Amino acid sequence: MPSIRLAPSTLVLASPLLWGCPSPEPPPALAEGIYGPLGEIRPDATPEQRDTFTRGREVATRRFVAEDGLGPLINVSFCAACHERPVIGGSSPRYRDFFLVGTTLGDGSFLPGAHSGVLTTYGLGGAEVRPTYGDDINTIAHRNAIPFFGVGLIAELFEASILANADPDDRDGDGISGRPNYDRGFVGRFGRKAQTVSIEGFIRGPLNNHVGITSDPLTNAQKAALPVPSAAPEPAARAGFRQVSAPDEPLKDDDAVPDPELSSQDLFDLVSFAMLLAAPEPEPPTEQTAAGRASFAAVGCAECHAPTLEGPRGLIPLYSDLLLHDMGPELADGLVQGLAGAGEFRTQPLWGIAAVGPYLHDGRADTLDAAIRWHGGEAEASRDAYVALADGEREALLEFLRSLGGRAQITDGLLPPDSPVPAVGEFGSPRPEVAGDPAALAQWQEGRRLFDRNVPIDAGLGPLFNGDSCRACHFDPVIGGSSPIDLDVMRYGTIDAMGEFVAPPGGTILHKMAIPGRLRPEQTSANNEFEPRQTPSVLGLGLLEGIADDDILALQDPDDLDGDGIRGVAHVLPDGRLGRFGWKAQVPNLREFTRDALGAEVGLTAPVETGFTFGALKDDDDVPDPELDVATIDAIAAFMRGLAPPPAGAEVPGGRELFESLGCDGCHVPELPGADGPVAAYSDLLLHVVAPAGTFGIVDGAAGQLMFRTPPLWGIAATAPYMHDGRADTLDAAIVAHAGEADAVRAVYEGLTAAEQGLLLAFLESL
Amino acid sequence: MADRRVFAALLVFSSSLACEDEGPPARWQIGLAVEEAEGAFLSVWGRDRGEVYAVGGNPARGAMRRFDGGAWAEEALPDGMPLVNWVAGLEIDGGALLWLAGNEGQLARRGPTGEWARMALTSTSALWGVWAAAEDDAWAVGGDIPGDGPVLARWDGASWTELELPAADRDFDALFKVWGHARDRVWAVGHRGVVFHFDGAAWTQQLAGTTSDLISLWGTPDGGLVAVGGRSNGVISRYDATTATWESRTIGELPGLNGVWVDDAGEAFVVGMDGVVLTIEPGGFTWRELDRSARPDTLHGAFGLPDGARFGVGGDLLFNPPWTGVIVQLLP
Repeated sequence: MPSIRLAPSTLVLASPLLWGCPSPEPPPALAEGIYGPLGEIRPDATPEQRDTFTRGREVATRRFVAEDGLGPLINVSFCAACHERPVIGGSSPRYRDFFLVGTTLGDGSFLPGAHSGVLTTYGLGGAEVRPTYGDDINTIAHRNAIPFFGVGLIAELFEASILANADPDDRDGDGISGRPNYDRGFVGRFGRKAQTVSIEGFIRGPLNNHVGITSDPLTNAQKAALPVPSAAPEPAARAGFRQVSAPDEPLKDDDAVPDPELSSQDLFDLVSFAMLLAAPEPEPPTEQTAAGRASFAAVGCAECHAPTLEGPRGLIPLYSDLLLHDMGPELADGLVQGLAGAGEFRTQPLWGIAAVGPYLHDGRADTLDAAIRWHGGEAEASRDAYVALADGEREALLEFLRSLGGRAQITDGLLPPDSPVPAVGEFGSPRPEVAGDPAALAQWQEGRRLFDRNVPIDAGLGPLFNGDSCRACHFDPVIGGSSPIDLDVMRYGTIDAMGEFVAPPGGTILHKMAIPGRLRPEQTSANNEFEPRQTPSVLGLGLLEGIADDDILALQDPDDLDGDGIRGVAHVLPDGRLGRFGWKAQVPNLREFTRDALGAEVGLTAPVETGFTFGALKDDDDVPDPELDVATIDAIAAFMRGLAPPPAGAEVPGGRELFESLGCDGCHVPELPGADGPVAAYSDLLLHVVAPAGTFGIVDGAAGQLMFRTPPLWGIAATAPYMHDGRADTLDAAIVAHAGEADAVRAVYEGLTAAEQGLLLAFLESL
Repeated sequence: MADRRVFAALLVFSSSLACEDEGPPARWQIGLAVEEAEGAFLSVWGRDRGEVYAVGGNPARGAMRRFDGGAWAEEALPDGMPLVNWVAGLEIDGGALLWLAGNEGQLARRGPTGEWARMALTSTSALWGVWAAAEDDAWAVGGDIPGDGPVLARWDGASWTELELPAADRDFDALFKVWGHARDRVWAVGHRGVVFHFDGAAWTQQLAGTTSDLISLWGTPDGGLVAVGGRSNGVISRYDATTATWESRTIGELPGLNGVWVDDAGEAFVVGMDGVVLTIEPGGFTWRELDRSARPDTLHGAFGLPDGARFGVGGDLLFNPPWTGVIVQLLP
């Protein structure tokens, strides 16, 4: 063996090996105890945090109303409206997308539009009913909501771990730069452009901008008690200041409710709820996902979608570097937020990604494959490498992405996978004859699936739409039901100098949404009449359809021959059919209703069918018409036809007698004969003038400005708000809002004692 | 007593050991911390080490302190003076002419002999800034957010006149500060990054390349300006007198910046949110953090003296009580 001679410098290096030295820090390990099903609490939460989580979840799902401070400008009425897919805390389907607007000035600087740049859809309490933007707006960006799963863990990440991946000048020459955004001196980590550092700020802002609910910042004591340390200064890591620094100002609005409208405790619970949401749990690797992971790294995805970042619990597998990257001109949205420029976006975390589509900042991609193919800019090379993979390699990569958590909760709509059929007698159940017939039940379930599923862009969604599914507007309290005020359909037009209604050339619906790449339509200065339309429940409509025309026509009294002040006019359509569905009784049957709603609200074109005149036959999106087939229309119509009416509550003694003695039954006829027996819908299905004299409204066929169909009252307790435009948050307010033909009945109600009014309201709630 | 003398001697001895020619390096220190009854400090100005004024208050009343080189003593304000947002001084007759701008359109003027005069504009909006070119020439700016629009007023030695600004390229509600090199070289900065310039005859808008709020400004020896601002992120804007152009940069690592003062060498001394104190190199955007003693309070006003003294004043006045006031200082 040759002798070994070591140079002195080598000895210096070798000596620690010979004589020992302090052990180096072990490499950080993957964090443990952080995973759970999407929407559930982190398993390491304390009992006290579990209580907070439960309370916070209640705040997230609370439907705010005017007396809570809802508005004056809103897109939605509750937090979970935009964070519901596949479960509360997630992202949202496209019907909850929104627009950010602003002005790019002559010197290149960007000025967000009014209301923090959030374009709202509804104005309440005297605000502009359909808010729009000014002529100076020249930048409009489309946004799809972001999921909150694991955000508490993201908040904890060390800044150094994020900054370690930054390469703003691309010094390594790999074409991928990556730079941090900042918020008040801290590395941003939330939002499509990483423009926000604190979860509190990320909640308070949208709560104000989209819901119109104001709040004060949490106190330092509350911040100290949050699940993510947020108050105690930790100068070394600066972790404590991140959460304390951002939200520092009370938010105010100009509605009648004193600010702050959200209590300090509610805000604490809501922020805690978000912080405690579990991280999506990756699946154990399989041969295919392991191969996909290798391809993921090989094509360069992992350069930005960094598999892990380090936090105090160890490595967090979020698959994002949380840095800004230039994503190319096709994805650029023109918005400047903090340091993020028009084409820069934060790398979206990929954990749980399979369950939170659509994808990209504006939700333009229906699938993960499409999302990857939209990548440009710094990701162009990786995208090209992905496209160049063999089919099997691409599928393995996609399968790897699907394995990053949440697969078991993937749904086409919002119904959980294998969602049970409600038992007969429950809300949302099939009619007994359907439930008892396996074939009919299977068809009903298929119809329910189609009713619930979100229609992709490549299946014909839009280009303009109000909902991307039937369920989008019919989910309250169950699929097939009604909806909160934030899904009202906006009808509009012009009242001319003679007081006559003039419909816009494109029809009276002013859509709230457009597919990415298209703009939401705006009214013109000539339009002066706007009428939100509350979503009517479709529960029990099959029974209404079974009522013979003659039994409805027999209730008419257009000339008030009996002198009771109540007329009632049947809406006979130009082709002679009797309208009975819709606020203006403008649709004759459920199949036409299906064709009409899918066209007008979802943007799906229908085929030409003999005997059917409703529905859109053409639109100008990229999908060939017709976008619907007969089978789909049949299945959805059959689902609605098979839905049982809302279950009645316990009988309220004396309630119906009072109801009838007041004269409510003059329009809200308790029962009509149906095809299979009496139908207790509490409606005559006729048009009545119930809007106050001197007001204006929308005309629909023979239904005049102030005329509305008597809405059925069954299940009404579960379908607030009330009246055609949702103006009444309570049944009492709804009764008081009656006018015209209902003047006399309303006056009698107002003269009742409180006990009598209470009895009537209890009766209505029992229906 | 003997013990104290020994201790003092030891101190002198140890200092001489540490540094024969210089004293120990000056350190940033909290010069004053006050509670809710007094409120926060929003601006600072002084003639010399023995006469420095800090102003502020709380939503109920204004407050003022004077530094005499050793301590900050309470200084009387005119009765009923509301929260004071800014102080600017002018040396005249061997003394200081002070202008104070406050809430509700209120102003106060104190002559070198200490007599106060209260004044009020027609506008009742908050006045955020005041600057005087001469005894008979001063400007005040302000405006509520949201509000009825910016306020611009000029003092001619006898009275204040409110003026209209020309149309701007953006909607904005307030001007925050005004400063000038001379009567005919005055600038005002404000809400949404607006900058206006007065050439002695008329105000015109200049584009600074930012829509972030510009909170305050100060002149540089070469006739330029440094303005600072931002809310979520620090913003530095520089005006180059030779090209008559502005350049703005957002500094992500910094929180919003509020106060700026520039020394004779052109180095800017800046304070801001989260207690940050920093300098900016002459002519550039390179910055260096000096101190965070006041963290997490916000520092609003910055001022320096030729002898190297530096003052940053601020506190917490954003939210509900308890409000606090703080002064950080470097006294070489």
